[in-house]
Amino acid sequence: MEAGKQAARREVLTGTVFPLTPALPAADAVSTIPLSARQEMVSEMTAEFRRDILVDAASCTGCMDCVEACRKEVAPQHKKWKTPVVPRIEIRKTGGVFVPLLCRNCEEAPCMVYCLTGCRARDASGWVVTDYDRCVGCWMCVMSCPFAAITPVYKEKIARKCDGCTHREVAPCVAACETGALVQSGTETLSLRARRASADRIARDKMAGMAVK
Amino acid sequence: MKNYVIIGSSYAGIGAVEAIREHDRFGRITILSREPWDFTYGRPIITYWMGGDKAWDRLWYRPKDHFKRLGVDFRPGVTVAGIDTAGRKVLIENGEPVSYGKLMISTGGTPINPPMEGRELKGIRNLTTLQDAVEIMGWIKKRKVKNVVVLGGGLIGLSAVKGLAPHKAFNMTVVELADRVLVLGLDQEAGGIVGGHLKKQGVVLETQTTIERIAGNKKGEVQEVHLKNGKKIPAELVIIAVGVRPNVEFLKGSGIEIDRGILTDRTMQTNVPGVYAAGDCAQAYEIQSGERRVIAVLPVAYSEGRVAGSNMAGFSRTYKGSLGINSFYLLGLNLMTIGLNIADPAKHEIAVRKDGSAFRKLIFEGNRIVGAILLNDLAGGGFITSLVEAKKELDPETKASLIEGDYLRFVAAKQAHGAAAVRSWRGGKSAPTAVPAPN
Repeated sequence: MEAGKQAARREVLTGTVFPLTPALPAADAVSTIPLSARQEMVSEMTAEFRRDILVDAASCTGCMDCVEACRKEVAPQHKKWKTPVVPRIEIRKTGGVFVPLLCRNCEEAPCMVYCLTGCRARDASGWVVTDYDRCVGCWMCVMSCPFAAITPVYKEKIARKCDGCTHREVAPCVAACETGALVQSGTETLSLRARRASADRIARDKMAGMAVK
Repeated sequence: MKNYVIIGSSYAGIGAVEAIREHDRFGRITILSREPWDFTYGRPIITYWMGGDKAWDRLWYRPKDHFKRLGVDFRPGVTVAGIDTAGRKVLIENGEPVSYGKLMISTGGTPINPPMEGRELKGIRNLTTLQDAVEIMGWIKKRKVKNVVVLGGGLIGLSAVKGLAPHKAFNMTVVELADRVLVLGLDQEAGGIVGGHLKKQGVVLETQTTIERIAGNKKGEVQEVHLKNGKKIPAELVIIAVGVRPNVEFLKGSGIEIDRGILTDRTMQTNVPGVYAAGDCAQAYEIQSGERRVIAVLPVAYSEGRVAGSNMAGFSRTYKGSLGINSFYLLGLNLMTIGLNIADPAKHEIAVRKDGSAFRKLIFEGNRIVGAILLNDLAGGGFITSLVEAKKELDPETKASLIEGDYLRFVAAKQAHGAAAVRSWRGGKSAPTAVPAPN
């Protein structure tokens, strides 16, 4: 009885907090997901720390420090191409305002939707990155980007875009910006941390139960 | 547990699976695919593979273990014979029926094959699947092909030209019924530019004619193509690319409403509850006219699939509507067509800018931009797409700057507005004023 109650309570919990399946798939069901994949999904959903580079155009003075920093950062990647290094951030002046053009890492990113080859995908860090080996230069993403953040490189037939530099703690362009026009932030907040801890705990419980079965 | 079945494993199918898995992690998903391959590839990629741009192992649209990771039962090589909507079953040729809870049909298109004399000869092929591409490349090796005739100067026909051109081994002829290539996407002027470029690259263009009959040799292989205008062209390979139509014949008698394609509502559901459709086979709402039309381009297929998938998983979403767009790389020519391409002079205002090899045409209806053709200078294409999609009324200044070719003015105005907001939030302090010019 006690155990049943506990299980029911857990069901309620799992139902409200995290949509884990109420019952294991039947034996004939083919879409049983291996445990490791489940764990991966949980971590994908919860271990969310998405980098955002915010732009405060009012503060941009057009000093081009960020562009130079980006050029330096991406130069090693460009060894395999013959064309000169193209920085992934651009500053243009128009109508008396400086407009920094860089990837805003959209939620349902149009460049991912439009990509012909599937070379543009969101990686584990949450940034939309490009596999340049698979890019064929169809220019679909160039046509899709409402921020003009994708540069077509006609000669190499690739579409270049900011990779977020998620391997670095602070993106070089942000580090170089002295006026505060570029600000790095993440969506990790206190409430997200709390929810993540709770979901992790529940998922662990559930998985432990499954392993015994 | 929900039981999802998806017919078709291309862009729309993948979009649906990914959307379903975002909302329902443990429902049962089955994908039935007619393709024999155990991975999914983007159909437009096949011509890049033919040209040698992409290695075989880079053809996959998603990683090879994608379906396994998402817990999907992927069944390649399965042909669907029909759908029993009353019994909620998908009937399969030579196989057990598959029952479904929610069904999505994304069967794409089938190539149109106009009747002509000599169609049964060896060496005549369509080019829509990877199988076709593989067989064409095999045929080229076997027959030692020198002369290629492509029937149809549309996207598929020109893709075939693009795929074969890097080999620099063929005399290619494109036969087109209309007066220019890409007749659905380009107007007279832009079509002329593209046609001229093709001729410069050594491709022979035969417009306003079609194939009358194809003559073969004793072995039953293609030898010569006779055109309606009397010309005879030697050919060892003929690619028929006059277009595709929605692949919906198998739905006859199922009760699913069909016009040209499968008619869907704004949630991508058909008239039969629980049955959805997306991709090239679906006839969904178009963003500009508000009518239902078949628009066979990739982003439309993928986003329709996503919308259908969300709704199948019980997460309500409506489709914003599809927009006919395309971009294309053709033998050194970069091309982008957005929205409406063929303007009606009485209704539309046309702004053309030429600059060397670059050509831009913007089409306005009143103060709204409704379409664009960009050749060789693609900068700002994304802005135009978003403006066309939003059906935004532009103020005259923005419109003028767009016509001038300054695509950033629009964003600048937006950002200036944001900057003013930031300034007021900071207590009226403006940004640092020392402004060195860029570069």
